[in-house]
Order: sequence, then C-alpha cells, then structure tokens
Amino acid sequence: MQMRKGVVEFCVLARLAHGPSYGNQIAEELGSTAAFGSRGSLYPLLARLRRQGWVATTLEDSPHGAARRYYTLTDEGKAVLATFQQAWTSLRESVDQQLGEI
Amino acid sequence: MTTTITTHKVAAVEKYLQALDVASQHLPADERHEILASIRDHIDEELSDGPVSSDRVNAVLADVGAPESVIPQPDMVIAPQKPWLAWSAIAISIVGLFLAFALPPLGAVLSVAAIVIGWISVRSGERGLGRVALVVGGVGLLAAIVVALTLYSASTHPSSQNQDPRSAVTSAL
Repeated sequence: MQMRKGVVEFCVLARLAHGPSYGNQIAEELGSTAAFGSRGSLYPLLARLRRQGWVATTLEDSPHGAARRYYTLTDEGKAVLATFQQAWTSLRESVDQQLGEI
Repeated sequence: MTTTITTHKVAAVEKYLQALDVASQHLPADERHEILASIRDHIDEELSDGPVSSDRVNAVLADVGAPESVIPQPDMVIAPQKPWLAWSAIAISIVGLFLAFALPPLGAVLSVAAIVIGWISVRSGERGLGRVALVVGGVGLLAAIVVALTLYSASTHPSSQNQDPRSAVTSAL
C-alpha cells in the first residue's frame, strides 16, 4: 500500500529522533508496527533516507565482530520530521472525523 | 557436522544475496552495494550467536523477506501523456526551421525551445511526437548556425562585398 510506504519512512525518522541506532535495532523496534513490512525492506529505505540527506551513517565497533552501521538523524531530517508531524496531526484529525461520520 | 552447517549457511546466504542483487539491478551501483552490504551485516549479526542450523538460516532469510519484496521495484505506472506539449514542440520547431533562413538568431532560439519541449515530451511518454520535435528542432538549430556563419562570412569577406548576403546563403546551402 502506497500510504504505508510513505508513512514508514517517518516512523524510521521518529525512531532515530531518540538517538543513533543500527539496522537490526530499528528493525526490531519497528517490526511490531503494522506499518512495517519485511525486515529487509528497511535497508533500501535507510539507503534512500541517507541519499536524501535525512540520515547520516557511521561505522562503529560491534560486540558481534564486524563493525555496525549506525544511522543518525540529520538537521534536515529533523526539519522534515517536524513538518510531517504537523501534517500528520491535521490529516489524522480530518480522517478520524470523516470515519466517525460513517 | 559444523562444517556442513557452515557450508549450508554460506551457500544459502550467498544464494539469497545473489537473488537480491538480481532484484536490485535497476538501482544505481552504489545504492545497490550499500543495501546488499547492510543486509549481509544484518544476516551475519542474526546468526552470530547460538548454534547455526539450516532451519535457523532459512528462518532468518525468511524474516529478511523475499528479494522482490525487499527491493523496491521500478514504478510501473505510466506517466500521463501530454500530446499538446509534443505538438507545440513540433509547431515551434517548424517555425524555427523557417526562421533559421530569414532570421537565424530567432530561428536558433525557437529551435532550442523546441528541443527542450520535445525532450520534456519524450520524458513524459510522448516518445514518437517528441522525437520528431527533437529532430526538426535539431535541423533548425543547425540551419540557423550555418546561415548565421555564412552571412557573417559573406559580410566580412572582401570578394563578397557586392554580393547580397542572402544569395550567398542560398548558394552555400
């Protein structure tokens, strides 16, 4: 569903607003939300967010051996998330109102 | 036994990553490499602690998802076509082609405009008409350049002082 694909980007940004995180951790936390599909689909999304300049990546040591790729929200990402939050609140109220009238 | 499991793990993971690579051929190379490296790290980390059985490998790969569901596929929606845009480009290119002989600078400007609009038409799905505008616009631009150069040459060359520049163009073409 197209809407779900659009919304999940902002779920990832919202998760990163709490602090840097790595792929498995993000997948773990978003895995239980209805908006999220397969775990692997997170990585193309993260790559896209990085290309858009909304997240940045750093490699850090991991207790499991290979270095982990950590994702951090950039200032641009924070601004985009803030804009989405406003738009979403207004959209949600409007949709709730319409659905409530059925 | 451990060797068999490790071999199975490597073979299954490599086969999966190969399928992902095939499914992501439409993406730019650097993006494809980034995605594949991230997913490889994800799988390695999932299998890094505890015994690795073939069932566990298969479960991890299933959890990552089928390659075609992981990699976003190219948008198959056909862009709405704009025939009026392509026809405008063709009209402008024809006017530009005629003006290339009478007023080369204006002909060149119109031809460039036709090429730009023709290119936009091709991108928006009007490939046939857009290409016609591109070709006619290209010929118009070329003609404008040739005419302008010939006129310039005729007006500066001593032997052509008594010759009408426009007849020089006609003979040059």
